[in-house]
Amino acid sequence: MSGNLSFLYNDELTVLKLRKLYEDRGFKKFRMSKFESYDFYARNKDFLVGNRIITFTDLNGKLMALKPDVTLSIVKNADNTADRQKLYYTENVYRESKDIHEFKEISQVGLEVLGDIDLFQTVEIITLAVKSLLELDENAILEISHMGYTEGLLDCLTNDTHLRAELHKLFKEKNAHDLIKLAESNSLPKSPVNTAVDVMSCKSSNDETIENALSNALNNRMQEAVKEVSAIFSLLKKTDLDKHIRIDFSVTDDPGYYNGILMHGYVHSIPRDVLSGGRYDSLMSKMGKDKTQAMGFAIYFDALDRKLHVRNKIGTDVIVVYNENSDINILADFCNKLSADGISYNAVTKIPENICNSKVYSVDGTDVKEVTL
Amino acid sequence: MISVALPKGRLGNKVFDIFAKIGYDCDEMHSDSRQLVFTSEENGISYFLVKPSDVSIYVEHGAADIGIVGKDILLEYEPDVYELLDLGIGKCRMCVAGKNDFVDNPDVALRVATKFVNIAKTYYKSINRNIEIIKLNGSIELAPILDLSDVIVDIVETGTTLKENNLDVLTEILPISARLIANKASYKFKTEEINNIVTKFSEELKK
Repeated sequence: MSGNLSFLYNDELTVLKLRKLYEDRGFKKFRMSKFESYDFYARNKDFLVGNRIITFTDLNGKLMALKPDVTLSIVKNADNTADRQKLYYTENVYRESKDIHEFKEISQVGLEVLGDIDLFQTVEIITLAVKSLLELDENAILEISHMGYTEGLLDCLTNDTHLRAELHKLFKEKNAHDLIKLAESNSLPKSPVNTAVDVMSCKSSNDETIENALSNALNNRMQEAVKEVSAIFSLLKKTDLDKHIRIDFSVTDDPGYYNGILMHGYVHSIPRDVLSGGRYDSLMSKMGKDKTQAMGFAIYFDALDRKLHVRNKIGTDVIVVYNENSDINILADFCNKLSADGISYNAVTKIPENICNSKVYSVDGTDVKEVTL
Repeated sequence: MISVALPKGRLGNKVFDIFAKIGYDCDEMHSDSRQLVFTSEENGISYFLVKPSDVSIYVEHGAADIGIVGKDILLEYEPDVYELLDLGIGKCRMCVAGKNDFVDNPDVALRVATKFVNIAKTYYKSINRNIEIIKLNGSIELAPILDLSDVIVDIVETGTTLKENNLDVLTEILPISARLIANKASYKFKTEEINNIVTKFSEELKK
């Protein structure tokens, strides 16, 4: 897709490639307005990343918000009569940045499948997630987990909401030492604690991880989670994408949002995840949808700015310098020929600074010649 | 190559000695140079020494793959990193301290002077105590003496400084020790190398 699109920044080019990738799999572009009613987000705050929203009063006196999230709007507008909707988006969202404690505009590209999510659809979404990462960098890893595994494990440990939240945090940090201490101080059963510690340590291969997770499964919920991941991985092995997959059952996220497969994507030289997503049926139920299954992911371009906001080509192929003595017809003919040959040019009256690799031609009277700088 | 952010000072030196023992020595670290980054190509490791409170920043932002940092810093700044090992060294306590004759009046907000705003807020929230935070950057012990605050929340190692200033530990909030942390993305791409370090470190500490 590069060629004559070489004037584009790499992030712009990547977005186009991702759009093609999703369109080729039958996804339709979802367009949304920049603003939503604040009330909509206030009612669904549990499903938002962070609590801060930029608000303003519109001309009718209604409190509006700059959208902090795309998925909520997609689910809200989902067609209740369709069996399945496959949508993708390229949108900007406005969220609070933890680092600078200010609002930040974040460019997001993502996709959502709403409706029946069977095994094939799940594998399709995961495949697209890996392929999306590979468009960003060939050295990419998609980490896969299942909320059912950690939630099933927590079921064996405690029903106390506060304690579960603390255990969740320790899982996310791979903090086995403090998990053991917390379990001891709260007299939690030893067997699930040992399982938790074992699951946190990474195994040498995905097959070993699956085998280990299955042998450690303490209840039906955990077993079902491993079986689903195992079935997905078997299908991924039919492609050469499986080498980019890392299965880790200790990875967890907000159980109020996600309820099944969980994904986090990483690419070389970016210090945080650039893709995240998973199965989020609870949002569909909350929005009163008849079809209550949904899965998707988003890629956050703010993390990728330094890596991708560069151009392969800077400036035009040719600089055409003319002056008041230049024959206007010769100048026009020369420029038209360049254009017809697919050569980019910038016609100027003064040679600019930093002209990089451009060739320079001058049109003086009727004379056209290349200038050596 | 694994890059390691070490805290400047006694803890950093002690941790480097352990790294050296488990096979990650670096000759440059033994020299008296003014270098900022010390690399051992042979052992596949590079070290840099930073202010202890900055270690987690270097690791979270991926400038270092792993780092050694006190639990106090992790609780205060809550960086998004993996906490892979409790080294059990650099031990101290996060405490509430006040004048020897301090008596709490629950009817008014407690004035708390501290460097650790997040830790203090979380602790007092957990016991439903209304407080007023006074953020200080050093010489915290002065605050109750000059009646700037009722109590302080700070790290206590031996308690000698407190005693010399007629202050006492009123409550121990939590024990603190050094932790080995890893950048989440680095851990995905360098799992084996980082796990090797964690395993060897853990074995060495048990000796």
